[in-house]
Amino acid sequence: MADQKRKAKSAELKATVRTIVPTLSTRFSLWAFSFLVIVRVATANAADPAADRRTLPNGALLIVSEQHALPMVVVQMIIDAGARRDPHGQEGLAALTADLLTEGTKTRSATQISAAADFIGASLGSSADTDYASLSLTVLGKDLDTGLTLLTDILLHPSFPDAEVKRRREAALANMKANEDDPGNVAQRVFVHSLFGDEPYGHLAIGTPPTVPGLTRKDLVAFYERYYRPEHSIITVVGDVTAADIEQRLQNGLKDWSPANVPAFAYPSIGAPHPVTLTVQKPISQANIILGQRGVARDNPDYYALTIMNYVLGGGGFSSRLLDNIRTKAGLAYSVGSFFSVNKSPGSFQVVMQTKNESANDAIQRACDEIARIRTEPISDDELKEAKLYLTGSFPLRLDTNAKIAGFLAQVEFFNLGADYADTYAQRINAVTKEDVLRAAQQYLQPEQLELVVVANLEQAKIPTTAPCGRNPES
Amino acid sequence: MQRVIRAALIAAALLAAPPLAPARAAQPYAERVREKTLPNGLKILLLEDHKAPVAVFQIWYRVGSRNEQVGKTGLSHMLEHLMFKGTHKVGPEEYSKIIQRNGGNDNAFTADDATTYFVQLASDRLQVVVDLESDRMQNLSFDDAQFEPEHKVVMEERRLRTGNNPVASLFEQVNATAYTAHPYHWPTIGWMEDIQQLTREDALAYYRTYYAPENAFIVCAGDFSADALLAEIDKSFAPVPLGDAPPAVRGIEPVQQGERRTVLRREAQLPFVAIAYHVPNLHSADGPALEVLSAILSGGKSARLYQQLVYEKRLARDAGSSFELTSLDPGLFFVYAQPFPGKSAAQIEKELLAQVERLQQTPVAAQELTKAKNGLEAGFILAQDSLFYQALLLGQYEVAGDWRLVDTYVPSIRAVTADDLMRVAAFYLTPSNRTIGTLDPLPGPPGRPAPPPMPPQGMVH
Repeated sequence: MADQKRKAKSAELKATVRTIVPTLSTRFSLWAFSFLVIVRVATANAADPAADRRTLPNGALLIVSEQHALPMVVVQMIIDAGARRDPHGQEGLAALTADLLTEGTKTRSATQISAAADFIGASLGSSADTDYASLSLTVLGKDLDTGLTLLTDILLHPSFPDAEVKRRREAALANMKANEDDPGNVAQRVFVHSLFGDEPYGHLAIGTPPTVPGLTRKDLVAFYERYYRPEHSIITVVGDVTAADIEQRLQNGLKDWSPANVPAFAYPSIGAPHPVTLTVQKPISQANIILGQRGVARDNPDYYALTIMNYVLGGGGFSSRLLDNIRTKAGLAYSVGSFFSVNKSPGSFQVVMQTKNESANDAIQRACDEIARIRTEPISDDELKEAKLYLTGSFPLRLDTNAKIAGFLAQVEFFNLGADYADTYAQRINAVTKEDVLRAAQQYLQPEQLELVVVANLEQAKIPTTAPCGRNPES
Repeated sequence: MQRVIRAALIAAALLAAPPLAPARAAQPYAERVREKTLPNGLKILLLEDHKAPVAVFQIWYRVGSRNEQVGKTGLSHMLEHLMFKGTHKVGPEEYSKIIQRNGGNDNAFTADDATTYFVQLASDRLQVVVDLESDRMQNLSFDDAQFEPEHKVVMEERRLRTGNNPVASLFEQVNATAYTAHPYHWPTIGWMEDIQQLTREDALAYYRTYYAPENAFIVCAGDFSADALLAEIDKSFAPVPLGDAPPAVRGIEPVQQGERRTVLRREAQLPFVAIAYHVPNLHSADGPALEVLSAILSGGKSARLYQQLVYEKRLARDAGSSFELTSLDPGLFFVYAQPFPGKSAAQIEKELLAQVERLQQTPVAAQELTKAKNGLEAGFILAQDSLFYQALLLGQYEVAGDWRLVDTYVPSIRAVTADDLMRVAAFYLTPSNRTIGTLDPLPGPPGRPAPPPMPPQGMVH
């Protein structure tokens, strides 16, 4: 609820932009994830992500980046309590648990918490993503004490009152219902379940209508007690602080937070591919399409080759082949692109687009053609060069606010990218060859494994039951 | 519902201070912004901010859907798309490729009052943007082969934003009902029927009328030397000839005399209620009080609409309000909510109106007023974390009248009293000045229930 303070503005409902980057998934995508694209910032006054890294006595990792340009502080905490930890049959438990942290502690009611945060104009929130839960605080420097008091209280002493659990459970169900009016969200929900089945990545964090009603206070307390522990937690603090001071404050504030030998998460064995075409009927004018398959984990050594491959295929906006083909040349879609949802465990690869019902099959065929092409011929020297220039050159934009620096540092740590990641990223990108890109495309894009989800007016879209990319256009 | 950072909350206080400067006074934008107007009328606003080696460059044209004509709505936005189709020097869609090659991101947006093009990139590459923008201010060139696909893209954009979004469609209807004579009546993206009829010639004529230096201004914020950048911009843009002054917009919305209602009936999961009141903007002394009123209603989870409608009474899934200080002509103050499943639009409407009446009848308590003001002030400072939003704020104020007015924001908010809030609520938020829009969901086709969470139709191949 951190964005409760942000309002839907009538003007924004009317305003319209040239292109949008779809927010497709709560997971990281290469598309949206280019802030992991790094070159060394040599400028003396750069927003240097260089940070002080230390372990608190209870095992939590504290990373501090002093940024004194503004009298503000951003705190982000990552806890290994994401939706991947949801027990089968209790999908939505991690998200509901995270949601309840701000809804009452042993000494503060839900309303007291929000009123205290609002009184200092702070953003205080907690939520669960697929891989982890996060707590965040954005606060003016002069109110840091108050902000940290609230943050540590919701982390350490949530009380999960029955009435609040009931409220937020109903809210989750209502939100799921409202999300059904967003065909892109419907497509995403259907796609991840089709691709991952009952595996940990097979549901959206919010949960499902059958499982959320059964979640009780007891379930939430047990989940919280088990997983909200310091040993796998990462705390990043960015802003007008000193590392020594913030360490002292957090050591005091978190001294009662004790470890409990939480076992590291282990993703269960991955099921065999079962390519399907799934359609959902909606009386809408535009088909929402996802064409995809299983992808890779963040620690895959081919990550860098795949980053370039995807930039050329569909991640590079107007420089990408999918956008050039389907939007610029054919005028079939406003938004079209591809991404790897790069998680701790292997996520998905997705081509996502929207086009009027009648041109759905044309757009799908064009996507299939581009996937086939990038698997059969090397990308051009120019394409390789342009991808590298963008990926390395856009690094400073990934770290140009305190909020971005906090997110960046937390994720470098979560994905074990190494303290020298900022120094080595450009080398890794620049080391990729055309041959690497071709090999990665051939290895990770398997047209016979592609699943297709279409949410559309099916009488107009006429999606065939045959495999979407089954026919090799070369033959 | 789109949730966006409130750009209208930005202002002073940023200093590239040395580490641990103990206290920082808010420094007015007037002291931080370098302003110059070239002989051809192009205004330039430069804001040095050295906290990261990047910059945002925005060029604003003072033309938006407000300038359009009946039958040609959406033309400003159509032209925005076509501005990427090249010039005599730059090929179609080359603009973005050049920017990306330089490690930058570019985009553009169209609103009621203005069209804005922007690039974010390493500040040592700013010259690339300056030259591309001065070129396409004068030399836009595209043929039917580029126009036709882009024309279809814009129709796809409308399907995506409005056609498939019941709540966005409702807001479009409420605007169209609240405004009868003023061009805020139509949506920025235009009516689909109008978009379909737009031609290449329409777009080029519009370009020639509105895209000229005296109808534009530049805002650039970031890690550069203002002196050096000013010289670069001057060199690149000075040769652009002065154009003719574009025609003035003459539509004036008459005073509303009685409640209006609009109902949108289409398939949707949940109803939605949006209530709009005609209100003034920053050009009125009542603007700041309206800004605070909106914060009293929806400035956080402890604010009234969430507390009452969502939390206490459990009627609404979501509730909020909105108000824009920065607009050229008077805008709308919205209150809105979406019912919980099982609750009706009528219940929601009644409760929203009860909240409005409470503002008119009971003074806001001192603590609640302070909380609302603190939230607005903190938002104003915290938003300075972003260069983009600082530049956006300057641009929005400049379009609405004068960028210097941004410095009045915090003092004007601080000056608002509980009496002001009651007076303003009683004067503007009246039954005869309101338009009530209701999304009334149609049931799905018989025999086909709303999609269950598991995919209904699957074919294994």
